[in-house]
Amino acid sequence: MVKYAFFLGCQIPMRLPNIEVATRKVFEKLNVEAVDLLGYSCCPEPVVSRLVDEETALVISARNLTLAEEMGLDMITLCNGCYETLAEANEVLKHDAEKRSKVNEILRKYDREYEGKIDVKHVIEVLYEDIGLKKIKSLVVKPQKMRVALHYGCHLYREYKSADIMRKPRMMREMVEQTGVQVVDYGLERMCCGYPSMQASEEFSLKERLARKLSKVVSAGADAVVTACPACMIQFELGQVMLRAHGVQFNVPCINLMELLALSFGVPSKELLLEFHRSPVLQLIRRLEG
Amino acid sequence: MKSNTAEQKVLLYDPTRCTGCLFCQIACSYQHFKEIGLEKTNLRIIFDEKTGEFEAIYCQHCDEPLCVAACPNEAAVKDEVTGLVRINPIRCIGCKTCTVACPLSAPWFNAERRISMKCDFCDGDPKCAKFCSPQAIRVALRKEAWEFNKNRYSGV
Repeated sequence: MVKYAFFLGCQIPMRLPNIEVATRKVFEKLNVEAVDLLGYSCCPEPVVSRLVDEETALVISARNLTLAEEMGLDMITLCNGCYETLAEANEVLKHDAEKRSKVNEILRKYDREYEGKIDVKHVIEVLYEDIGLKKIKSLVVKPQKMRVALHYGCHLYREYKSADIMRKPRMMREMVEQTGVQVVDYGLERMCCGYPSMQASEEFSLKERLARKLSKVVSAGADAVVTACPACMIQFELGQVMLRAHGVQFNVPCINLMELLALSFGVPSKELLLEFHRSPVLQLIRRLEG
Repeated sequence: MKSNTAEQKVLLYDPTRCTGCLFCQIACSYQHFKEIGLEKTNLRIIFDEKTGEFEAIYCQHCDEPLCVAACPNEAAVKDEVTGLVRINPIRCIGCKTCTVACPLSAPWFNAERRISMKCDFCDGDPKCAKFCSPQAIRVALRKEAWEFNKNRYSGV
């Protein structure tokens, strides 16, 4: 049994409970014990919070990390943003004694101390490295007969173990390929979905990023986009709704990696809260199930 | 490249790693203007539809900077020790000569302040590089950037 401290983040429990449900089903099938982190806070957000006040951002991350340290468990994240924030904070605090002592000075007021005892892993790394493709493949009882376009998400390229930024994206692709789908290449896989630039310019984010990607996805003949990140999912789903106000019409389903795995493992679609999607995922799955 | 500047730090952009998330622009904008925006920024990422690749317009802190040579009021200054090229906002008269002279048009005109602005390397810790997840833009030695760009643009 693989055991991890489970960091859910903010977007998943608040806005995308379907991802949480699918993940718990997948963990059950794969024998991953995910122990809920009680009392965790926002990771916090990986860029703006650190820009505004790096020390505060580090303290918040460190506090979350100490919760996992107390359990003596490595931490698993589902969100690419949470992954980068927490892995980056862990990296900084493990190697920068000065920052670590400043952070611990503040944490001490709350009877906490960051010790640097645990690692932070993205769920993709855990499933690929701890469970393995063989086991995943052996559990696929309902191959998903669809053509999918992959969107990895920018923070997934953050690397601490290798100079190869494709290490985790490649794991995701190989994992997706086990589920019976056909992965279609559309040429703009690496391009950002536009979620980060949304806070700066809605029009740029939607037209220069999301719409560009979607038009390539559609012309490549994909039935759906598969993403690993909840923020990217919000952009792909809500972004398509917002694009309509700009006179641009797309209707591409966006599925999370965990949902795809759960479906291929034979979890009934009605148990997966697919109605929470703002893109036509439910319709696609119903069509496939005939 | 001058032999005595090889160890200076500069920014190096690798388009094969860029996702176009623009966190670099957002970080630059916040660092210098306290704004989460894409307009007021000292580097720009552009997308080439034909090739499907990104490209960055950013200051190379040239060994022999044309902005410094062209500036009529000695506002653009190069620090020979660090290699950094800066524009002194007090001396700048907003004539935009630096923008025209720079082969990349890296200096840009800030219409609110009526002066030209450019990368100041964030006092040694460039925020664009710090917040780039795939490390498409990063701090490198000038000799490394020279080699990289020479290979990248050879034949262009």
